[in-house]
Amino acid sequence: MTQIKRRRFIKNTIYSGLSASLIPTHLMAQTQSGIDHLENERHPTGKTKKIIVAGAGISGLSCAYELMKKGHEVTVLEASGRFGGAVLSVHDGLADGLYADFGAENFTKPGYENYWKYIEEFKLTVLPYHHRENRLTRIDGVWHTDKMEREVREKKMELLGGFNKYELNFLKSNPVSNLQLLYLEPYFGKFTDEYQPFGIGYDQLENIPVSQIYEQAGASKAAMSLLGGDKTSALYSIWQAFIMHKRGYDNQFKLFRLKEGNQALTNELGRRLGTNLKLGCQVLEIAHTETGVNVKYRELGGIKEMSADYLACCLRTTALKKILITPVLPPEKQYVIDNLKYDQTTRIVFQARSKFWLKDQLSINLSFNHPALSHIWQVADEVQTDRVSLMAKAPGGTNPSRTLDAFKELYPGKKSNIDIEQILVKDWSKDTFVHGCERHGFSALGELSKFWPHTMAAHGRIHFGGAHTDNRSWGMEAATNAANRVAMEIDKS
Amino acid sequence: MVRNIILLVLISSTLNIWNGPTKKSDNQGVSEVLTKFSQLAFFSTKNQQEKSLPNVKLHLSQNENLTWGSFVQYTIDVSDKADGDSKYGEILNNKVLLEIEFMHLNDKQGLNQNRAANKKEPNHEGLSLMMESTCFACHTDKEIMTGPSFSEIAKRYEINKNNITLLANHILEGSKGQWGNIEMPSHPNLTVEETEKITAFILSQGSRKNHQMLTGLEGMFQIMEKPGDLEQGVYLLTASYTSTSSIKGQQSITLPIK
Ligand code: HEC
Repeated sequence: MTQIKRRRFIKNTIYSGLSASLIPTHLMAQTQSGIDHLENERHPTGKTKKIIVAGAGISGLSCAYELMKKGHEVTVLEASGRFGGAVLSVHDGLADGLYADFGAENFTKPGYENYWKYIEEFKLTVLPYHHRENRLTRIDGVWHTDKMEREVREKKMELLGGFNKYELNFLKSNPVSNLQLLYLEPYFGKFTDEYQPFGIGYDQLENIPVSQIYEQAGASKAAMSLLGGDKTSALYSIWQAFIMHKRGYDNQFKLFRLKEGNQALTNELGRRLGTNLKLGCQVLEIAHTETGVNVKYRELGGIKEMSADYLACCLRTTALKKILITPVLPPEKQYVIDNLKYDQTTRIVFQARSKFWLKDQLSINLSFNHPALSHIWQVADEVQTDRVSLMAKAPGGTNPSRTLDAFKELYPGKKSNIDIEQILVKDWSKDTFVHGCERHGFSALGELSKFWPHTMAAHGRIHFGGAHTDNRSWGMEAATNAANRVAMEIDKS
Repeated sequence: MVRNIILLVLISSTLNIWNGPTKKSDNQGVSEVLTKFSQLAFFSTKNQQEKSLPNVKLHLSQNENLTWGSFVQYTIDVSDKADGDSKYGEILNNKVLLEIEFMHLNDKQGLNQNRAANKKEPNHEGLSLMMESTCFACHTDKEIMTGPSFSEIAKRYEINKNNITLLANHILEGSKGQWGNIEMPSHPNLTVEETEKITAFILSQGSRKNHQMLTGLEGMFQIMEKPGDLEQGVYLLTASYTSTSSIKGQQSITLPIK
């Protein structure tokens, strides 16, 4: 080994040692059992195609897996040294087998249909997730139970003159969180495709606020104040409500997570892709013609090239911004790349010696509404130990020591009971490859048509996946939906 | 830093050691600490205080036959005796800057003057403060990211004392609802004086139409669409790195556009 190569090797191990050691330990433990026989599952629908998948987040992984199952020849190029992207479960550094999901945290039922498919196929263990139950919320410096919050809201509604007869009737059989449906459901009938809000007679609604729809339908002052929406486009609201309705989210839905962390699923996908998944390969350039694509990427410090029939591009727009594409993408697509935004969060995990909040007879599902600490809840509660891991959420760029200070200062019980012994942190706003969390919506007046449907539209031989290309932004659901869509598009073309 | 990884902070006296006495930026406790810490471990055999001029080299995907509207990819190589080498992941992304300035080609004299000015221009304190902090994780000069771009901010707020006070306060306290519903964190480690300097920089930089700043060791920018009356133009690109011992190394390239 030359001097140069050796230095690179050492340095990378030091850096990635921290991340790499987080992943394989538990991955290996689970993956020794044989891989299901993929050959049997393959059911080619036509000619075998050669496909490059850019990005090994959950979307790229599941897209590649689907294409492989359909008998195509797939190579996944991932820039970073691990796969899974924003799905990141961490065990190392936590005691007694505790762990935490630093990225995508939960999934629902109903909903997440494509995601559940993989859970069943890989026989993963699902656990219920109760982090939004019995929540205490700090409002204007005072802690409120869910019940108190409801009472405050009811009082406010009363002061505004209460709901009208029509609304009261609706609320007899529906939760108040569904009140918008009373006014939006009449619009649902015209949708034929949940991916197409345009061209069904509502285009002009993109430019009027949804509050106007409520007002024109005679909503009470109380309902108007509850529903808000004076800055949200009516078309966007109707469309999103329709998708929620179609997926069964109107009714109470349950939250779940995977035992040992949600990364169990991406680990299984990655394992099935085997050496077709190449880590440490950053895509630099994409050239495309009517008949194929050519991708330039960096691997081990050198530049390599690869050609294929199709590119399944499952990269975030933050990564796409740095890739040279020739010929250039159409202006509508470029607009999406230039303007799409992602939420930024910091995840902070506290490890405590005990369930100290029980001494104060409190729930640990707490909403602080503090600049350095929005929520906290318990994770990995099934692990047999006295110790606990608590997940806290704060805006990107937050210093975790300040989060701890905020917790200590505002904790509603006795402060001397707090026995937190260490902090782990992941700030997604500082991640080189997974810069940020879920994509932001397109809800402002006149904004939807600038993003949709261009966000998901293919361009020649390049098909676009990734969670940001789906019609709703819930991370793993959007990612697996987009992946399945792209796999289908490429298989059929 | 190569990758931003979870790291462990023990709440005990070690935290104070890790924090170190120097940085006043928002992420002082954590990520920077990892970098400092590992660099320290890595260069323990070297004289860290050695003052030297960092060597900066700018590479472009294409530097000939560039046309209006096209995209240019760049990488910046940095090596510094004390800080290390970008080739080995030892250079922090947010200490590396690319300045992109457009000038009319016919204006040869202007170009030379500008080059001279560029060399002499002192480091803007507001900019250095931002590069020490976390701002560039969410903001850029001309492009939209999580937060509004400097040019959007400058368009909304003209430079005057009231606006500087207002924005300086928003940076300190955090902000929500001014631009959308993504939240900007508070920056309690900065002082009012510092955020005022930062704001002054953002407002003046944001309003410079033909001048763009990008941070990071690599990226891409777009050559402007052809301005009406002009046949040719020239871009002046300056890559720079400010070392931990506060010495700035830089390289400039001119890029003719047809
Ligand atoms: C985690 C992401 C993030 C980081 C880090 C961040 N910002 Fe922001 N910034 C935002 C967002 C989002 C907004 C828009 C907030 C809003 O709508 O009120 C914003 C808004 C602003 C504004 C305009 C405020 C207004 O009132 O119009 C300024 C100025 C600004 N940021 C400067 C900074 C500076 C300086 C830093 C570093 C010290 C910084 N930001 C760090 C996300 C961030």
